[in-house]
Amino acid sequence: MIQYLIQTFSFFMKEFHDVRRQPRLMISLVGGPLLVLAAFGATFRSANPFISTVLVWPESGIPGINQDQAASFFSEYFYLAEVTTNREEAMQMLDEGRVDVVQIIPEINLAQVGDRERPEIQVLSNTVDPNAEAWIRSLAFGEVNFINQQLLSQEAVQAQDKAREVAGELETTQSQFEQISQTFDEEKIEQTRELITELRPLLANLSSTLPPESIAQANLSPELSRLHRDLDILVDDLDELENALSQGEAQTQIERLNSSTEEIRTLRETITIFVNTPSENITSPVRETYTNLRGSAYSLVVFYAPSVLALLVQQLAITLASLGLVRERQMGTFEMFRVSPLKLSQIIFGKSLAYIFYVTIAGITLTVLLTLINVPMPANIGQTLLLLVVLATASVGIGFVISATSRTDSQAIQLTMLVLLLSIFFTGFFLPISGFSWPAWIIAALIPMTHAIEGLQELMLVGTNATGVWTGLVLIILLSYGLVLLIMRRQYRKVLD
Amino acid sequence: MENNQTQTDSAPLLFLENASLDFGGGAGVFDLDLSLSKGAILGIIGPSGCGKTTTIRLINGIYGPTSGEVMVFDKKPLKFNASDKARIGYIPQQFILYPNLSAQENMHFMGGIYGMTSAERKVKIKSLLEFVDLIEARKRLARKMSGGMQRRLMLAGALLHDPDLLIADEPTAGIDPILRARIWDSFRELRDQGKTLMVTTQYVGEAAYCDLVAVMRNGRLVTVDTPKGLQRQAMGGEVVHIQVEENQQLEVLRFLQGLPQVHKVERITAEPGGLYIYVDDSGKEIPNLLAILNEKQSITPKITEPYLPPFDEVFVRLIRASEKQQIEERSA
Repeated sequence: MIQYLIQTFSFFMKEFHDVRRQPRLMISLVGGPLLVLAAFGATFRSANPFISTVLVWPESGIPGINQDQAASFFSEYFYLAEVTTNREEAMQMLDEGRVDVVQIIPEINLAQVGDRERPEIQVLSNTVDPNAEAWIRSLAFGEVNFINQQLLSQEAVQAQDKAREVAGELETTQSQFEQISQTFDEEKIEQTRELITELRPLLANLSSTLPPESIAQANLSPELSRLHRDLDILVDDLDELENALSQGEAQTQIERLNSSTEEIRTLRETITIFVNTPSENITSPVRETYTNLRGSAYSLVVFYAPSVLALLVQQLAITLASLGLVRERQMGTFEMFRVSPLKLSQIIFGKSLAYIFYVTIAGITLTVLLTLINVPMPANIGQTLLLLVVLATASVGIGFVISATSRTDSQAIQLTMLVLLLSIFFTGFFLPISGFSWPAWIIAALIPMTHAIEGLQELMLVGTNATGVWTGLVLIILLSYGLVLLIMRRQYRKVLD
Repeated sequence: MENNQTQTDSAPLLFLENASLDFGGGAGVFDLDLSLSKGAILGIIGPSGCGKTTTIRLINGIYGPTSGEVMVFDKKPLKFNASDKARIGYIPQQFILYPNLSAQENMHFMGGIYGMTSAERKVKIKSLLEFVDLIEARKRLARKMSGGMQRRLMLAGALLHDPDLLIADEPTAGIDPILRARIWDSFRELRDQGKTLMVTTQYVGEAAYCDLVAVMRNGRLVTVDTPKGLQRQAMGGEVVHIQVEENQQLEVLRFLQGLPQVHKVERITAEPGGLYIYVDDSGKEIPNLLAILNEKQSITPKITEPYLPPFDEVFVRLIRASEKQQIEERSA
């Protein structure tokens, strides 16, 4: 056993001295990526695509929205290069590549909105970037909502003005109906008819001024729906009152008169509620509130820091290990090892120990350096250290698999780059894994970084212990080392073939 | 002669009987018969690609024979356990020391893979670096050493675990003659300490340093003999060099050719009056020949001495003889 350990440790010491004698390698592998991260932090502006746009504004403007308001709203998400009324000029800018998007706002006639016409905001681009396209479409949807809200709000204000006016008339009518009801006789029938005749156009006018009931339902505005309903009920009641007046049964006539009086009162109350409701509540009765229970989210630089740390640790380990066995094979040392009492497992484990040692030191150094860009210290130092060791071990295992299957240095480097590419796409580094179908989940599960990102985010950002990452990493270790021993045993036996 | 005694006095340390390793297409080694006893140097000499390295790999257990038998330490090398392997020191043809490690660190690594403790290594490393004259350069990185230093370091590394059998594959390749001589001096010193050495070389002249020489060609052993035995084989006996007056050369040549103890007489074209006389035993025949020439021809040669042909010439003659034999066998 002691001899086994001495032999294994001789590889550790050999690799230790070998890497120690290449300080530039370590500096470039650790310092280089850190500088990249620092440069990212110093220069990053936004994760959103930078999209420049020109806004084509209708000459007659849009009711309820002035050009400055629109420009201010559009500037929040796009770089607004210009606002113009000249469509041709805007299209020329797009053709010449001076802007990414042209947004053409049509003439909007409020009287026709909701009737036959449905004005269309045209958003034109010639982008080849699918992310930019998704972003443009999403923003266009937001803009349409904004304009619709502004238009509806204006309508609601007009309706409230009209309702206030009608409410005054209704009060008079109500009072007259009450007086007629108290002293109702044949002579009052004609007076009642006259009052009904005066009231009808007033109600019709109010009804036409209100935003359509379909909008009320769509917008879930209870005040608007109620107003529509009460208006309809009153109109129906007045019809029945007129019928009763024609049929001549006094008792029925009085009952209908009282009922109508009651409906007028109800409508007045509804109007009072309607006019006192803020116009934005009528057009957008539902609004959102967002509360981050943790306080606030991190900046993007800090958010990505654990992922970058996981990437650096993984790639450092893979790079060292992927060259480890290839170089031995190219140097011809396996021939000497075959003649010696050395076992293959001692070579693998001895080398692993050295690489894991260096990679863990690099990981700890990076973790400390990340605090310089305001990344929080991990919640559990011991567990972070363990995670770095396990990540390094799993990554060294992957590196050895590459090394065992590569014939030359350059092949090993190519495969290392392939793993880097896979890691960027399939580990949740930039794109969430849930956005992929299941075959990608298998790839993700086989990359150590996938699990390490989750664990480091928990430890460094959430401030809890890493959970649910250990099984995946241990499985990768078992799989990769098992595979390496299998492949290398065959190669070791046929060392000179 | 000393070697022959070694061979007969003790059981062979390694033994090959009709051993072949056929890679197909005519490549490999065939019908190797060889034995080597403890405390001797066996040199395997032959041109590049003749099968020297393959023979070594059969002996150290990297390859197994496809037919015949290979036994080392009374075991088949493919069945070696860790302690058997620890009895072999191996210097492969390729330079395989780690360039970023110092001489001392490389030595520690070599000792480590043989399971030596740090304390054991420290003592041995010091003495071995002194032995190969690298003690001053112990902290120098291997990549900053000359080719000769690297070879010597490999030799020291291979000896660190005190092996019984040292196998060195072309350890003197690409090294200047003075350093080659030093390395061979080291080998002979190791032999004198009781080690057994098996050394391959392309330098035919190095046969002189060996106790036993195996000449290889096209994957086969042409012959195995002592250096002196090889010279005898190549020349068809021993050679006496004489020099007479130029005008007497033809007369003496004819006279000597008529003597029963003389196999053959050759004129030395580059030497006026020079003759090579082929006999069974030069030591015994020189006084006889001088007496006969003086008595019968009244001639006293200016020079009379045993001639030891250079190994280049011996090698060429042996190879040519082998080729000739091969052609004769084919035609037969």
